[in-house]
Amino acid sequence: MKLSSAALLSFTVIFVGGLIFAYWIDDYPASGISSSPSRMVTSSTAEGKNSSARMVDAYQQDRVALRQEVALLRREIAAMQRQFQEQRQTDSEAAAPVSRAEEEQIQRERLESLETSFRQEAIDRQWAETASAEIQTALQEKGADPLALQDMECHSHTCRLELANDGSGKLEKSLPDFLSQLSETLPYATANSIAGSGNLILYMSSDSGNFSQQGKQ
Amino acid sequence: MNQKFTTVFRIVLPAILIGELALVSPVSAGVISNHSGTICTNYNAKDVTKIDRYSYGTRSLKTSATTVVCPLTRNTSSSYGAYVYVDIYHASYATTKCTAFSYDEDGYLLTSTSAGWTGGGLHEFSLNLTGLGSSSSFSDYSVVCSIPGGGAGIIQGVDLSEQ
Repeated sequence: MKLSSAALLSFTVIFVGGLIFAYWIDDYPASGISSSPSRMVTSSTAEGKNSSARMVDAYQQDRVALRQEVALLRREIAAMQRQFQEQRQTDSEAAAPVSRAEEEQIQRERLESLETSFRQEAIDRQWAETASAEIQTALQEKGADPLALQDMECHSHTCRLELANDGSGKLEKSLPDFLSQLSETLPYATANSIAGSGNLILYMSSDSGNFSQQGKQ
Repeated sequence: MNQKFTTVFRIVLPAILIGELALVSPVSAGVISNHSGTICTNYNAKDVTKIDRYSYGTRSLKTSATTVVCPLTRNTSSSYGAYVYVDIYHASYATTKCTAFSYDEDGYLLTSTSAGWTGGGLHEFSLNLTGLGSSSSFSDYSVVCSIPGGGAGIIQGVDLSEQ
């Protein structure tokens, strides 16, 4: 499904070659044209000569226009080739393998950025109360075996929850249902498992920008 | 002959160039992995006998909404996350809700997004899991969906576009 940049670049190079060849073919008979009027002169009247001269002029103008057009297209193709090269470079950089240490650093920075953004987020009391109530309702939906909420704080479009993890797998199993129940109010979630305690810090937001912008390239 | 060639050349050349430009965009798009809806299976053990399949998708014969899970295959080791597209068919007016997850190799949740659709017929909706750190070399994606019971909803496809 995906066409490689290399294939497209090859296509462009072949196309440029074809273009130059086509232009050469177009240019080649010009010498023939110059001999054609001379043949006409020998067998025509002065009017015929003028008519031929006009034809030659028109053809020369056409050639000049075509030459300019080809020059413009060459420039456009050169610009496209540069774009391809830049895109290939970007692709290869993005696809370059990231070391484990770099990935851990990315995650650390991402989570720090999430916490910082949350702390800097303004507080909308009404939104916070509504979101908190919905979270409490979703937690209670689990009936006699609800998720253990340790801490909750809501601001203006993000809530930070700390959920206890007893290691039984209950938290992991219940999480999809819990998140699904809040899909309309808080559809975006990012998690941070606290080393040692095993508790889960969950940042839930109504705004995708909050999370997708974290550490964006 | 020569003028004809020139005329054709003038018409064809811009058309080819425009065509080339059109081809550039898929290159810059993500790496796509298409999955049939048949990969989806029951999320809860008790629903194992309620899941029914067509050659093109999965439905639930339970009397109520049923949760199914669909594992997704990756084709990159990108750290920039992915978009997930869910193709769902509703035989009548109904609701499907899905949550897409990205988990690291240790099973810790990295990020999740929920979305859904209410209506009848065939529909596709997307789930945005993009952003640096939303995935890693060995992280995995999955989608958990609540589909209508009574055979009224069929998950036909779950597609992944890795960024």
